[in-house]
Parts: sequence; structure tokens; C-alpha cells
Amino acid sequence: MSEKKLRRLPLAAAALVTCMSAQADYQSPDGNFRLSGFGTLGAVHSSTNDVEFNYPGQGGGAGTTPNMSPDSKLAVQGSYKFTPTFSATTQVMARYDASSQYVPSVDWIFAKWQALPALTVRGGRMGAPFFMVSDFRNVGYANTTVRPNLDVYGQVPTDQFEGGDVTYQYALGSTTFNATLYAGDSKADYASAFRSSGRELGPSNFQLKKLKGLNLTAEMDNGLTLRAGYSKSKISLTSDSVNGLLALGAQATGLGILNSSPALVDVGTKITNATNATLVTQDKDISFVGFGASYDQDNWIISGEYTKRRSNSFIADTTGWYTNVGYRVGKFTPYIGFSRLTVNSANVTATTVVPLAQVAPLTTFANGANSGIQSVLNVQKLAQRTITLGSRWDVMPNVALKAQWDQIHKPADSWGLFFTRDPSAAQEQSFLQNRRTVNVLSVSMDFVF
Amino acid sequence: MKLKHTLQAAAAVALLTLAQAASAQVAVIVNPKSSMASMTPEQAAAIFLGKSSTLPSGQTAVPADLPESSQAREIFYSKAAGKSPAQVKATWARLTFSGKATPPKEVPTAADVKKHVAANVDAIGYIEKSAVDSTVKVVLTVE
Repeated sequence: MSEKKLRRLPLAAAALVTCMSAQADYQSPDGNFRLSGFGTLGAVHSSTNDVEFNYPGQGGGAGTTPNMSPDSKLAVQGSYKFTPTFSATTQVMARYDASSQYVPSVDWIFAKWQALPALTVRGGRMGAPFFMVSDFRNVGYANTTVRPNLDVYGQVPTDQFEGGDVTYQYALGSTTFNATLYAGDSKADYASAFRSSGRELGPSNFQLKKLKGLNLTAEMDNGLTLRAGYSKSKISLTSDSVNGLLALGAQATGLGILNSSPALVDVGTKITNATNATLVTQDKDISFVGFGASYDQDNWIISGEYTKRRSNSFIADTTGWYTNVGYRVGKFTPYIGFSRLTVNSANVTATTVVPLAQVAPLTTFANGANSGIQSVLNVQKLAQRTITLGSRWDVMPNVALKAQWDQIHKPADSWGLFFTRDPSAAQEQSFLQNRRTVNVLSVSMDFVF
Repeated sequence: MKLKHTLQAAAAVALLTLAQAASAQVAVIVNPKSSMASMTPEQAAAIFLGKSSTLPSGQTAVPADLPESSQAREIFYSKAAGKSPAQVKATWARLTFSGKATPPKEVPTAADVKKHVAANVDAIGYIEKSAVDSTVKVVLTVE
């Protein structure tokens, strides 16, 4: 753990230095080249050590010791205008990732062509607008709360895609309509545990292929913005747990053949078949749909979203919604929010691979497989609801300080969105089985430069 | 008595400040060859806040901003858009870091804004009304 902490130090130092020295973004004298950036320095404290609080997908998070990894990040963006209608943009970001490290990654690299005054075409790697704030969800400064609402944004493992999009802008009266069609592929690493039954687990890898989406927004003069979006794709998953189960099946089968034991071959075949039937995820349908509204006028800043995830794999069907109301009082914006994540359908339920009362080697394999499959399927159990109370303080034109309290309620037989170090450990099993309330305190400094 | 004097002084300062603020007019300017005769505050705000990339004439707008320290800039955004400097900054952070748009080109002085506007038929800018001359056309005044 200590070496992971060390990796955070350079980021914290760099962020602080940048923030204090940079007052504004850089623009070349001709206005064609721009260099700007954003970042967050944040600390999180959770009321429990049974599980860890993080941004879902990150390899680890906060317990009762204040932890800077969930929210701290630093990004730099450069853009160059080749002609008034053709530009290129790249953005590099370092944030705590699925491998529990701060490794800068090229978030975006795309070219943008303003084909007509009302028509924009982009190609490359760029932000994916799954939900209302998806494509700027990491920019703390641009959001009222410390982080985008996890009960909604925790449903999507990625925030970028490679491909293209076309945006058409249309003004009708005082309302500006934007329609964006996008298509491409996306991938992301996602961690949900360090270990399973003591065995070390690397992050899983999600791939969304044949991603197609439509995003519609209407911005009105009175500060109201409405948004509707839909996307569908084919999801594939590579996971240590699933590969481990397939290896276990092959091992039992191989051992059965070697020892001329039809019973062991049968167990091996059952393990392989059950894993294939429940967990192996290759080109399965997944879709995201969301409706949102935001209102930002005078002193009120209100937003809300209602979103759904649907799949035909073991990834659960979920509904997530939130509403957040803030009121500006000078440089302070106190806010209150409510949100909920519900599991509508697990889609795939556990099967008992082999009846358990059997002789020694068979029992070991069967037990291993049954508990292994069950532990992977446990990630379906993510129901929770959250009450949020906090305040933003615009302390300088490019710096905002925030303090936020989240009270997360999770029902019995649910992990909520928490990170589990080892889901099979006794204290984590007790967390899973019981109804729990977790209080999370966050402070953050968001900046743009 | 002392309190009364203090209050009177405070009132005088407040009135003076109000008078100064009221006297500061900001003109939204375009190229004299532009087909536009006038604009609404909402139309001007939409361009400078990245909501719309086109002028009411249908052409792609080429806006120029004054620096954050400029009084004309603060008046323009607060009067035409009803937004504080921090809100403007947050709006642009959202647009820039989602790759949707880039902020207007920033130029140092009113003279540079006029130069920018005079050089491009689709250019748009804002300056103190007192700085307006024949090289540009006023389409909106906010105060």
C-alpha cells in the first residue's frame, strides 16, 4: 500500500504548483494554439473500513483514513486551429485508475471539422455522451458537486470512445437544439476487488463494440436545458475471475481424463458449461438511455437525471436517478441532492454446478466453481441510495473549494457501489448481507488553468 | 451623530458607485459590411457562451473577448447573459473540456477588438461604448 501512496505524491505536488502558478490558459498570439487544463485535489473519508469508497472501476478507494485517490486528478488539453473550420484537440489525464496507479493516458485525440455553420463532424478518440454530464464528468470545476452522481454515473464503465460523431445545431426562436449521432468502439479497465478467496485479481476489461448513440439537447433562454440520449453496443468482458473458472473446468476435465475418472470429467464439463452459460460475455447487447434536465438561472442551479442500463449478459439491468438543488449565495453555493440506484433484473442467476455431497477431489472443484461463479455474480448487487449535502465556494475565478457529505444507504444483500478488497472475507460478507449506512465526507479543490 | 455621518458617507459612496456602473455602457460591435442591423442580448450571449456558433445571419461567428480584468467584459457578461465571471468560466470549462467548443479568441484592448471586427465580416466583439468609431457597427448596447 505504501508504494501506491508514494505514487500519489508527484500528482499532488504537480497539481498544487500548477494551480498556484497558472492563472489562465495559454493562447498563442494568433489565437490558433491553446493550452489549458483542469484538475482536482480532493480527500475522502468514509465511516467504514469493511469496504472502500471510490469512483466505480478504480482499483481501491477510501476507508476511515482520509484518502486522496478517488477524486484527485490532473488533465492538460491542447488544441490547434489549422483553419477557421478545422481543428485538432488532445487531452491527457492522470487519475487513479483500475490498476491502482496514476498513469497519464491520452483521453482524447480528435479532429473537428465545422462542415457548415450548423454542422460539426469529429473523428478520433473523444468523450462519449452516455448521460448528461458524461463528457465533462471529470471536470470538477464545471460541476456543482464534488463528483458526478455515482448512482447514475456508476452504471457506465467508460467515458470515451473511438470513432466519429456528427452534430447538427438548430435554433428555433430562443431555443437552441443540438442533435449528435455517434458511432465507434469503446474500452475500459474496471476493478471491483483486489482479491477473491485470497487469489489476486487484476482489473477486468470491458469492450463496447459497434457503439451507436443519439444525444438530443434543447437549451432555452431561461436557463433550462433538456436532454435525452440513447446508446447501444455489444459488450465483451475479459476477467481474471472468469478465466480462472474456465481454467478450473479445464483442470478438472484434464485430471479426470488422466485418472480415467468419468465423474471428474463430468464435473470439469459442468464447470466449463456453467461458466460459459452465466459469465462468459462476448458481444452481448447493452444499452443506456437517459433523460435529464438542468436549470441554471440567477441563483438557482438545479439538475436531475433518470437513466437506465439494459443488457442481456450477467451485467444487471439498473435504473439510476438523482436530483440536485443548489442556491447561490454570493460566492457560496450550498446544495442538497437525492439519488438512487436500483437493480431491475440480474439477467443471469447463479447455478449450482455440481451437487455438493460428493467425494474429495470432486467436492473441491465443485465448491471452488460454485463460490467463484457466485462471487462474480455478486457484482450485480449494487442497489443503494444516497443523500448529499454540500457547498461549493468559488474562492477565486478559476478555483472552487467544495465540502460534501454523502449518506449512502444500502439494503441487505447488496454491495452498493463500494469496492471490496476480498468479497469472500468475513467482514465483507457481513457488509454484503446486512443493511448498512455509510457516511462519506469529501473535500476538494477544483481548478482550471 | 458620528454614526449618522458615517451612514451619509456610505450612502454617498454607494450612490457614486451606482452612478459609475450605470454610466458604463458596453456596445456589441460587428463589421460595417455585416447584414445584421441589431441583435438581442440573448443572441449575443449565446455566441459568447458557446451556446450557438452561428450569427443570426446564419454565418459562423468569429467572436473576440476582452481579458478577464476588463470592466467592459464584466458588464457584458453580467448584463447580456446574467452570468458572473465564475459562471462564465464554469460554462467554458464544460464546453472546452468536453471538446465541444473553444472559447473566443482573447485580445488585450478595445482597439484590438475593433481591429478584429473591422478585418472580418463575420466577426463580433464588445467594447466600451465610448470607444466606438466608424470602423465598426453597433448592433446592441447593454448597460
